[in-house]
Amino acid sequence: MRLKYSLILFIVLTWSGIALAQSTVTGTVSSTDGESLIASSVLAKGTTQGVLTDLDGNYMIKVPAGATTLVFSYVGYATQEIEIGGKSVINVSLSEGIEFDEIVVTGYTTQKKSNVTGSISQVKGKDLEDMQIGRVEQALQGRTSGIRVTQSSGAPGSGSTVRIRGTSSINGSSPLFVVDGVIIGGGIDYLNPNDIASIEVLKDAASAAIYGARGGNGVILITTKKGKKGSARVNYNAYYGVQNPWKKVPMLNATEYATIQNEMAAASGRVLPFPNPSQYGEGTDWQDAVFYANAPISNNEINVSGGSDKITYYSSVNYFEQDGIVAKDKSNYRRLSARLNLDAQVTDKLKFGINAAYTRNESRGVSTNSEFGSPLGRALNIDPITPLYETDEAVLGQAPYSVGGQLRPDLVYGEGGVYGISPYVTSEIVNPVAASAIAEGVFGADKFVSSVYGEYEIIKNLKIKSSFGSDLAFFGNRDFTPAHYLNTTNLLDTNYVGVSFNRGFTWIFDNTINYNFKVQENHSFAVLVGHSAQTTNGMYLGGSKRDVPTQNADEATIDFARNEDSEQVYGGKWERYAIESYFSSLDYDYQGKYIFRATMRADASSNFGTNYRWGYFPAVSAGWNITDEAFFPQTNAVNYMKLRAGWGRNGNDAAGALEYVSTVSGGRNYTFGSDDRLTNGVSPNQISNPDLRWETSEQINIGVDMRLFKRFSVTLDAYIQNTIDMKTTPPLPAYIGNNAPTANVGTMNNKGIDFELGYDNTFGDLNLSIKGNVSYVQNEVTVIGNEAGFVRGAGWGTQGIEVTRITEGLPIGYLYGYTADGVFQNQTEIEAHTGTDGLLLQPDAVPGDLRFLDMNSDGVFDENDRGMIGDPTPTWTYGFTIDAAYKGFDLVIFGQGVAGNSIFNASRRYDLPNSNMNAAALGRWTGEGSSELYPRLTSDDTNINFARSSTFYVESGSFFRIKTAQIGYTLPRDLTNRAGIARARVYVASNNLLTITDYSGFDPEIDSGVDRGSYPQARMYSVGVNVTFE
Amino acid sequence: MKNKLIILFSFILLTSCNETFLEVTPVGRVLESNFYQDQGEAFEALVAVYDVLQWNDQGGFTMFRPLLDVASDDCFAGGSDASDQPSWVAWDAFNMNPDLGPQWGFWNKNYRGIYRANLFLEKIDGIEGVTPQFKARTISEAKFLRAKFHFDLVRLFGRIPVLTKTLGSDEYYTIDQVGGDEVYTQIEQDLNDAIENLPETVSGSELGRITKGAAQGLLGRVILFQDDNGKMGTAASTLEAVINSGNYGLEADYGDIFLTSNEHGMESVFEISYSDNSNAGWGGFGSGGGEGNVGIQFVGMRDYSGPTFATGWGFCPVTPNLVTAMTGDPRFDHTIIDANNLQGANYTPGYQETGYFVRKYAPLQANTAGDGDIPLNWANNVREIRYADILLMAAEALVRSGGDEAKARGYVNEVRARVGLAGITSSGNQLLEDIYTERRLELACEGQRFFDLVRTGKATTTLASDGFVAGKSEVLPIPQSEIDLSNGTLTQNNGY
Repeated sequence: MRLKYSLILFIVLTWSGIALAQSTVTGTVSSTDGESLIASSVLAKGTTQGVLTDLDGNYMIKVPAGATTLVFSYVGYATQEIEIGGKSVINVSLSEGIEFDEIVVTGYTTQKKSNVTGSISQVKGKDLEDMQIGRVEQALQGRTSGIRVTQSSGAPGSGSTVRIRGTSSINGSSPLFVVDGVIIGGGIDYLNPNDIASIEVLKDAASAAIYGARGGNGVILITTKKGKKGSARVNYNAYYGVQNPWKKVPMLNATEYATIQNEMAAASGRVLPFPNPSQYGEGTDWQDAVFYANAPISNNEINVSGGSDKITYYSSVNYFEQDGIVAKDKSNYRRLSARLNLDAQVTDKLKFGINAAYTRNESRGVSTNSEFGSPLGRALNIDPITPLYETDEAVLGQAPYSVGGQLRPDLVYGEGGVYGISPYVTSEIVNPVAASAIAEGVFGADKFVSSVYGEYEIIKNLKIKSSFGSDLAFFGNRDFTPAHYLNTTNLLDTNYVGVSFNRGFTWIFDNTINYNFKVQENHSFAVLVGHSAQTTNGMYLGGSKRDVPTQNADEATIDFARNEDSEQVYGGKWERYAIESYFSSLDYDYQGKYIFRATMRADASSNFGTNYRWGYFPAVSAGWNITDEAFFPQTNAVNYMKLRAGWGRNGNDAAGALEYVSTVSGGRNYTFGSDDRLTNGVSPNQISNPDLRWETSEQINIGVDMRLFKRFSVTLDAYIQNTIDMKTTPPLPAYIGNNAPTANVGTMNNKGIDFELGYDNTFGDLNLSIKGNVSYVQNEVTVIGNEAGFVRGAGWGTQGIEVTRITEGLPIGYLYGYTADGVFQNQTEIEAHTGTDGLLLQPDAVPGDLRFLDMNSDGVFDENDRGMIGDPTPTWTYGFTIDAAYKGFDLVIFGQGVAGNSIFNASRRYDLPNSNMNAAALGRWTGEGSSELYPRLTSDDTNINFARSSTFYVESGSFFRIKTAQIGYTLPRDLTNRAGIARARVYVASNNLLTITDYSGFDPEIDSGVDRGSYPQARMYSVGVNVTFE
Repeated sequence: MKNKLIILFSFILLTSCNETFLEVTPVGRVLESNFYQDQGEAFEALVAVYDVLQWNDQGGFTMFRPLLDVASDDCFAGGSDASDQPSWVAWDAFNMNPDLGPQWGFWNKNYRGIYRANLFLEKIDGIEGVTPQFKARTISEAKFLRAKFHFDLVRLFGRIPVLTKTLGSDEYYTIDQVGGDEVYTQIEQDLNDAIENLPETVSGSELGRITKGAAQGLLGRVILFQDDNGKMGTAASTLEAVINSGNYGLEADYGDIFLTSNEHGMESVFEISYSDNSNAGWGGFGSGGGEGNVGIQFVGMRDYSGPTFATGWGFCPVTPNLVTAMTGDPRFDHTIIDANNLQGANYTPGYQETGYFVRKYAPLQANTAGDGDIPLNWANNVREIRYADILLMAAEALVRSGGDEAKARGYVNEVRARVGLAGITSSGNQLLEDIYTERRLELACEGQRFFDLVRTGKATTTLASDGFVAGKSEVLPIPQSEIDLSNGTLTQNNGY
């Protein structure tokens, strides 16, 4: 339709121009990435003379006398003005994304950007193309303000923590993901990042309130690509890369380890365990043993798009493969995805479409960030004396390798023979390579996500729309554990095979009416009314059995296993989840200058009882395009400015099914009778709370959007968010005798500032665009609602030492412990370390021990001196992207960082005295003046320097990272055209090229703030191609 | 236009859901309001109280019997190394602190049991169609169990909240932490109530349910623990009622007492049941879910290979002190494994290795479970009160109440005669000492020794070398988390 109109216009303008023609200019209008822009506008400035480009982006314009400048514009692209200056050929490339009147998806509707009154950030699909990322969440990291994405694990396929404007609840603060109108549960890793046309992040309450009940944590709207009218375009994209750890943690080598162990024994008067430390040399480098060098990553994708006047289509197939940098073959991820998006204009009034995607993914995962058995946690703790492979026949002939002179049958073997077993470090800290060798679990998921919609225009601008979305997922595990002997406490005599299947199904049925109309030309209205119903069901089935006559995971099945007594089966279904909603919005603007939006949503969730089932979520916001005012001075400085303000209320139904009511369950059995008969016992699961209800968050947002000096775009927002009725489980004293109920008693507060700055310019053939963003957020848990005023947090090690806590008046999940203040250098210092009443605070300390502070100044040093020793949540989050294009070359540099957070380095097993240590131990206190930071080492740590949570373990978590650096080259078009290729680009790229941090552990990107040996992100180098056929 | 709008809005309303759309049907559980309706459900509620008796996984490994042996001078903590079970090592050396030790597990377990007992007692009256006999008996069982949980708490912690009802949310912080008579009065009342309506004996599928003898035996033990000679007459008469009931006797062969085939045998007065049928796995550990006895796994020799025994984790190595005390006693081989004299066997020495291990509850190959994780599925029942203990307690109560010493000697000598030992002839204080000695030898490694030492005041000297501090180490610290959460209701025990 538009094309036809354009052609006519083109012809008319062309012909009408002849009579007045003074000069003729021709050329091509294209985008910065080389795509020709069809029907873009070319106007001779100051005249009415204008033309549109043809299908190849070519134009010819007769320039009237007196006109000296041509204005090139295209929807969604920055307008450019170029002086003619006697030229007869002017080729222009327009850059994307700076134009203000883009279309922004706002949930159920779209708006012109100039009419947006809330705080909504947008990420264009183009910015995500060719990024070497496995999951969509990573695409958001550092891209916009107000959103913090933390990829805590570098394990392939692992998810990220996404927080919009801080953590708004202690009950899951993940934003709502909506893909093409379907609310997606269970992760969005099914989505191929290259299928995304745009991502809108609804940050403030006024914007998110249209999703009422579940908008409390912000909403991320993802729109997938659609076809455009015109001939078919085929894109082929591929890359291949290799990944390596960007860092190793310096640990003691074998000689150093033996020396330190001797010193510890000597300090506590014990026999030296290693009389000749130097005999062990360097020993085993367990990190080298565990890391997988040059782990491959690759992606292949083909998509086809196009359309006729009536039908447009976009279809893609993608295969992504990533091996992890830890535990070769045991940590990887594969994803096959296919998509078809189809839109049909059946009649002038009726439209329908479908977005359908199928994804299969399969992953092998290793335990990460655990002190109890992750490969890296083990690599840091196992002693360097133990060899990777034990080859010494004399050693193999003895315990633990042999029993009664015979090698154990279940020893684990690798390429180099029997994996070594540490005689020094015990419990879960087994040989990490051996442990990986027997880890055979695979997780797999098949997911179908689709939405079908129909839209009918009853009268002009009055549309009804019905859409039905579904999300069907089959997922489960295949497990196999071979018989093994890793050490005395980690062994299995008979192998085990297990399998589990789950089926989850969600449907969502939305019906909306919207009507846009004007009153007296100046008053524009848009009204939306809608209803939505959604429900989720699921079921599961699984089983296991022992004794398969094979040690090969691929051959192991339950039917093949022989131990009938061990056969187990389980199955069941999920308790259904349902939510029903009514919603409406009203948009009004006066001449596009004064904009007003109000939304109201009512939600009823099956998670609540009839007392508080319905929640009501209103929002209002307003905007003022101040530069449209006549009084606003027309200067070169402020080209555009909009002021915005909004208030809204959102909800969070983060409760479990039937959490509000008391239920009883069986299985509280006892054994009666001579035949040991299990008799079923039944008791309540928890104390009930029928008044359980919606968590509510209220947010005020004010903001400004500006364009300055034509080159800079600025967005600044400030907000205050208060979460009330936050659900907490006030821990009750155990003497009450049952699990405590949850109750809506907590409150939390977040306030912050989001800032975005853009700059774009053209210097001859160089197009440059820079985008940056900075976010500041401050979180405070204001009320917990239990008597104690805190909730215990994460534990560390076998003793479960409390290292994090949630306390009223402090930020969520802060690091909790004692404050160490250096090392006592001598007895005088110990005697000088007195409390308020002059008594010694640490009378039993000896020189070399840590000095702990009496933080509450009560004159004694005890457990009440614990307090906040760090905040794991960054105060500042920032990111920037530099895009540059010069002739055929293009460059992208994307960096991201955080500041103001702390990490508790819990990677050493303090409870295992023989576990290895960080090389920092070489700087331990050995005598007066030797160290102010690192205490003496002894087997008899009477001062508890190590086995307590203290500032000794806390480090700064600030970092800056060049996430992506990419250089591409687009082959000259006349060259590729000859080969029938519209566009061909090759590039080299790197992920995590540079990380700047003071943190001593593997990776500072840890959401929980407690590092137990995390899986670091990989540094990757890759090469790729993009080829387009038309 | 107006009509069109009406049609439009009815389009929205038409899509509305009916009420049932938001109602959730429970899966694998029942609404409490739909439960406690008939006798069968009442019994299931009672079983849930019994369930807590066998828990040993609260807050880590907190098996009552082996831990009490560790606390006494019968056994050391053991394990692979000092860091294997820090809370066991701490109790062994009496250096627990409010954050370190087995206290949270014991505290939580027993209060869970008290809650379930109180809930049962509150619900039973409202349940229709329950026979009077059923009601009287199950109420007695619930009261017995409530008494047992309170008794363990008061022995372990000294001053505790005594709860005879489930607490409403307005009552959480209104309870008192009490000790001494205020606790014992309630325990004794529960037991006396229970004694009235409990059956003399049970058999067949009811084995394991509480009998009158169990309640009397426990009451005797409760009174003895109060160390008040003024009450010893009552203890004696209560315990002699068990003796005179004729329902119990001594096994002819001492070695038969702990055979799994002899569970609920003639000598068993109160026994806590375990099973190898529950398929317990590590995944459920900590929730009281499994029905097996992990205490058996603990006391086995590490990496054992050889005949008879199964491998274990090397806890509770027997102290040289007990070995010396029992050397020459005919009960030695049934009580202690001399690991150095095993034929065709070897094992890995562990922490605090002595070469001697617990025999009575040792893991045997013949008892190894076929299902689930082996360590969690040992079926060995714990002989909580056996008839020999009743005889020795009765003898002690008689002597301390100034009663018939000849009768007391007779009871002791029954126990000695069973293993072919000559009778004792002492009297007065010496008789009492002989009874205590006999208790140690007869009941070694059965979890009785520690509380015997504490109640008689002998712990102060006997356990001094282990680190026992009089006035402090008799009880565990109240768990720190419990003090933190109690809103000032609870105060810490002396010395912690």
